Amino acid sequence: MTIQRQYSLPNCQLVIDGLSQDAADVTGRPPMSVVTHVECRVAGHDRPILGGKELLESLVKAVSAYAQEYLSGIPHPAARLKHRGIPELVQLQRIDTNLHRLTVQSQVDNPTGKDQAKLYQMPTTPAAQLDLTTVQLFDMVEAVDQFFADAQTLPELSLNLTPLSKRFAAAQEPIAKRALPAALGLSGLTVAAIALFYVPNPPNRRPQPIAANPALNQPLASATPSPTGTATASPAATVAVSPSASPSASPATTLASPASPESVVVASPLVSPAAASPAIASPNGSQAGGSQEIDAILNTAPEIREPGKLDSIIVALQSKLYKGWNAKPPQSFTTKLEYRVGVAENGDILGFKFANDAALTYVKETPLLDLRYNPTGATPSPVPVAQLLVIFRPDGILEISPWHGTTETP
Amino acid sequence: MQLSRPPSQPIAPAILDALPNPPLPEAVCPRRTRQQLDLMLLAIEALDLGGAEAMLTAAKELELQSVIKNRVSFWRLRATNPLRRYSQRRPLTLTEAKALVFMTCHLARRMTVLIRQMLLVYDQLLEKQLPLEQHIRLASYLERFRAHFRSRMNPKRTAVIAYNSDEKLNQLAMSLLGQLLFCTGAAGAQRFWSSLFDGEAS
Repeated sequence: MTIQRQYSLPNCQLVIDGLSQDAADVTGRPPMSVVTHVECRVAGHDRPILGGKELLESLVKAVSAYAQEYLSGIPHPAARLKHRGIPELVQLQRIDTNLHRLTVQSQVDNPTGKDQAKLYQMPTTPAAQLDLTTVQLFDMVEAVDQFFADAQTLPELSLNLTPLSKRFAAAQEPIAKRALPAALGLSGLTVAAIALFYVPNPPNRRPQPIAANPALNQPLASATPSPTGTATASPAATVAVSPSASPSASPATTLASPASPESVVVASPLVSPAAASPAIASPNGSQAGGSQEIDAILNTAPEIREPGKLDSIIVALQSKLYKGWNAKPPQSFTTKLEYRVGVAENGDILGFKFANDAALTYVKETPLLDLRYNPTGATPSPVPVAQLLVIFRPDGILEISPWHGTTETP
Repeated sequence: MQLSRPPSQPIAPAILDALPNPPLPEAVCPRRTRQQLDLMLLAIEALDLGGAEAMLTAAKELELQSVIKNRVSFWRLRATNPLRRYSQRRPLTLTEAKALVFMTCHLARRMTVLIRQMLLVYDQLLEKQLPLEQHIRLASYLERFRAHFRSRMNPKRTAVIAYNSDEKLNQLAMSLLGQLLFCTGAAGAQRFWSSLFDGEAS
């Protein structure tokens, strides 16, 4: 039995002719299951769009997709294309802010049978092209929506709305625009890499031990000789081995109370070069780290002050140094070389500092470097240390005396 | 006395179930959704002098009070629009967005005749190359829309700077008017809702 369904709006009329398979049901509104003829009239356009089921399916799909495109502003591929890039029979395109072009690919006069299928596959010029205003487009969408809402007409076709996925939004921007940030980032990285290639490596600075300087600076800060001190100058021309001997050849060495070694005031030129410029203490790179260790040893290690022990240490050191010095080629220096030397109880030279400039210049002519004891551990254990002033004289004589003077045994 | 339901957990009105939850990476509205919803409501306000009041009345009529409680909470929902001067840094939930969609469609449907008429007039004026000011109703809509937009949107935003001329704002107003027309249809709410997440679905 033949049925006709009409969906009428002010600017658009959609008429669908079809058949109901359920011929027995004559009461009420029988469901239409087969489409024989579709006609879509738009006000202001004389020729209607005519077709069959394929036209109807394509029309509702394109119109629905285009309505979504109109609302969101993001191009909907289903408004123009079928799957696999085949152009849709009915296409909708925006040509102006308020004009929409509806294109029907081929004229279908005979809506039934195989002829129609053949016609679709043939590339033909657009059979119909309608420019719709926004209101006309809306009426067409509304006609389609009413058709969808009608459960008695082609129930298998229903409104199916899904938001477009992200890749369609991304496709909106041209490739050049999308590639720009990546290109900028990459070129920036390249430029930075080239620029940094020519920048020299930063020098490797090791942290200076804080304990290194205060003990040395403290005496310098109060460099006025204490009037209570016992300044003694020994004009010893020979080796001074007596523990009671004061530091020889130091014109202004002032000895304060021995009980408080921190308050010892040393206003002598012996200390000042080393203290004022610690860098002097490193004649080459291999000794840079050593100098700090010496500072640590000299400042933190417990000091040997017993005259008896000092005596034996001085004797042992003296013979050691003489032996080493004699093995060296004849000395070329003309001034005295003065060193502050830290010696362990067994006579090992744990470290030394230069007490004058000449001492630094001619250090290789003394046996000190060869005899220095190299600790194997990372942190030397705080063994008691005797601090001695060692003077190499140009005439081949060695003077050794306690750095801080000696306690006069009562 | 027994409470039928705890007042702290408002149950979303059943009407909102008509709109499916879109497949989003997170269950909150993306930036474009929040922006579009507020702009559509702005266009309604420009169309109807008592638009702001009508919106609150519409919320009552649609029984959306559990989502839109009062003027302030309604403003807070709209101010999730990132273009706003006093943009709220809170998310807009899907339930809240659905409520705004229904409200928009409800109000647009009431003004269907006016919207259609103004779109037709706009086409005719463009066709005859006449200034838009010829039609008093259309001109006043455009003027009010421009004023609303300029007073409420943050002029430092790039997206707002893009609308720096009357002409560009008129175009925006007209495209919003066309979109409002589509909201008046039988499946208007579904179409509008689905379009809000175009290009955002995962």
